[in-house]
Amino acid sequence: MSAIDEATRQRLPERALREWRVSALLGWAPVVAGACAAAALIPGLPGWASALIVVAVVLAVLADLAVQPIRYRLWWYEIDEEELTLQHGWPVTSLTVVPMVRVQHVSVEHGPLARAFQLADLHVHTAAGMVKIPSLDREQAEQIRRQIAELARIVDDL
Amino acid sequence: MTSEPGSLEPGRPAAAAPTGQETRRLHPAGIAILAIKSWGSLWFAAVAIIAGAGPAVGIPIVLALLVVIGVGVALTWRVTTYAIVDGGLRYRTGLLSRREVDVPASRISALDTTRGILQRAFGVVALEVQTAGGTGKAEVVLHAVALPEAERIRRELGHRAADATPAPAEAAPGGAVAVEGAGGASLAAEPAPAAAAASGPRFTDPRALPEEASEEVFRVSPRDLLLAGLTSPSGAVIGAFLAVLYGPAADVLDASTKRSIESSAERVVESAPIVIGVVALLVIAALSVLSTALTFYGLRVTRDERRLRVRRGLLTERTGTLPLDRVHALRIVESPLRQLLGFVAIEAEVAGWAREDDTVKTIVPFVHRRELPRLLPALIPGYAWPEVALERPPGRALRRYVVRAAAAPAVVAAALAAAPLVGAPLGWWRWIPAGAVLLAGVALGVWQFRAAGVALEERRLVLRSRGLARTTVIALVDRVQHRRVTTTPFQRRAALAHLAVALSSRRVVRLSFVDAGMARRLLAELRPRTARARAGLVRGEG
Repeated sequence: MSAIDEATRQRLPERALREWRVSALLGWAPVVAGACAAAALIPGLPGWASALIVVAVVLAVLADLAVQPIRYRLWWYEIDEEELTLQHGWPVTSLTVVPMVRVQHVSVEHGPLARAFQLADLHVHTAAGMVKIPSLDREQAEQIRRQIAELARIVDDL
Repeated sequence: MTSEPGSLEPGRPAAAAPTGQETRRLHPAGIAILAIKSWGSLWFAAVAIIAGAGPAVGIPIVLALLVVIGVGVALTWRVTTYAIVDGGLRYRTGLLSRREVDVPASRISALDTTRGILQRAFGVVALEVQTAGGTGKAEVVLHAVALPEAERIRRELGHRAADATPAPAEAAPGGAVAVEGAGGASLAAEPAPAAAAASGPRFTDPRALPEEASEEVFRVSPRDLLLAGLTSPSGAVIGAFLAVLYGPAADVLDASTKRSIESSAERVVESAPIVIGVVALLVIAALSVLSTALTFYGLRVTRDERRLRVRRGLLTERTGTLPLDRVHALRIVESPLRQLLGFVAIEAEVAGWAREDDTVKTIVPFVHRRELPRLLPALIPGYAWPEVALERPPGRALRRYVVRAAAAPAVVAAALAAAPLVGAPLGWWRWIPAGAVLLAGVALGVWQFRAAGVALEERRLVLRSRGLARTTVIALVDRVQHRRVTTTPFQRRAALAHLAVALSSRRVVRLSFVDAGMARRLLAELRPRTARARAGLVRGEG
């Protein structure tokens, strides 16, 4: 129980950043391919237009990849007996607080890519929707899930 | 005697069923009522058929359709039954595809009656069984029951609700979701802090029916109705028209100008198309004023220990009920014209059993602002009109409010201004609407900045903002689900942030561009009470 009482900020595992990178590349690949195909195959497209399309897409991919380390650095969460606090996002940075008494349901989810990295997402449900901690170490996610489940039960609501 | 197949306990002999639990059909008037309703909804198709196929062929077709529908309605009436069994309502209907609904009394949040013109004609009422939040679609509608029968159903189901423990406000039926891996234990889906804040009584006395001890909280007056109609958007049309013709403006003009205006008005009247257009406009506006008056005619709000009951309507009398513990915020809405006169509307944000059922329901459509301090606590205990001043966004936020509101109008204005460049030959006059639109956007931004404010008073969060109408949301802090402060790098430099407070899935109240320090302070202060906090236990101990 002392681990929970110690309210410190936790960060995401380092390989989360790698997983994000791979996921972004996989996601952008079809777009890049499509843009190149469009640039090459559309008849009558002036040279500058096709160059513009390709450059725009490449810039978008680079921007996405460049932003990820910033987001990784900003990501933290903190769990104590009363509430779950987390900060994430860039350029729009959000600081979210979820009281334990409001937690209805906690689950651990992972897609195929996350599984390859031994990562998983933690979903915390309240009556107002879901709050997510992504890309946690798989076993840690399980452990946190149990912790929150316990805390949500033992904190008495009036 | 229950004799239907497939009863809940197949082995139970029919003779053991006590009286009062018989299966019944709806009142025969239901056939006529439903038939008329179905025919009514087909009038458009009927007109199309007659117009398309010609009267000789069309009318027989339409008549045949009406007969078929009538027969269908009659047969459906015959197979529709209901019974009060084992403390719940059992409803069976459906001609081709059967629909069977069993609603336990503990899940029934309200039994509302509606008396429309049709029901009145036949001396029956329609009974709606509300389960989800009391505001969504009714789970079961008994379209025609005699008044004494409706009372009997109410009594029997009310009794069972009283016997069942815990009271529906505390029970966690279908909406409760088990926390995974916690060995089957479940949390209450709907926290009951409102009950604590409202000092809601525990419903333990089986003889105490909810209908007792209800007090009238609000009643609309005819004058209010008229003002409500006049200040509605279409009412404003009439008002403007009359004001122009007979208002103060007329007094300012000298006699000869007035005469010439009146004579040219006569000439205008002689010009038929304009007259028809204007008359049509006035008729439409008058009709909607009338419909406002009819809808809210005789509106009465009564409250008993567990719910609010809103009765209204002239031609169709409706009662809607609102379980008090499902209300998680009150909204005071002031539309621009009404705000000028000092009138507000009071709405309730209501949680449903399922996320999609969260809705907003109007409790009091029209009342003067000065009544709010008295009215809010009377409507729902625990709520009150704030007495403290609201904290406003800092001056440096004004620019951002204006930019946000004027962004879209600026695009429109730019498009108008640049129109000639892309081939649309608009003259110099295009600058006038362009400027007007831009000015309107800027004015809206300033207006929104001035309306924004927040306060925390005695476990109540008060958040005021303006979209177009100024809206004040009053929520109990114990109802807050999660809260969030959002910034961008630019805002961080100006020490500004956005505050969002989630009350339920559809209802997130936001305040933009507030002081970042204040936002964080609110983030910390908006925590629900817990038993540990109350007992003064210190975090981090043992």
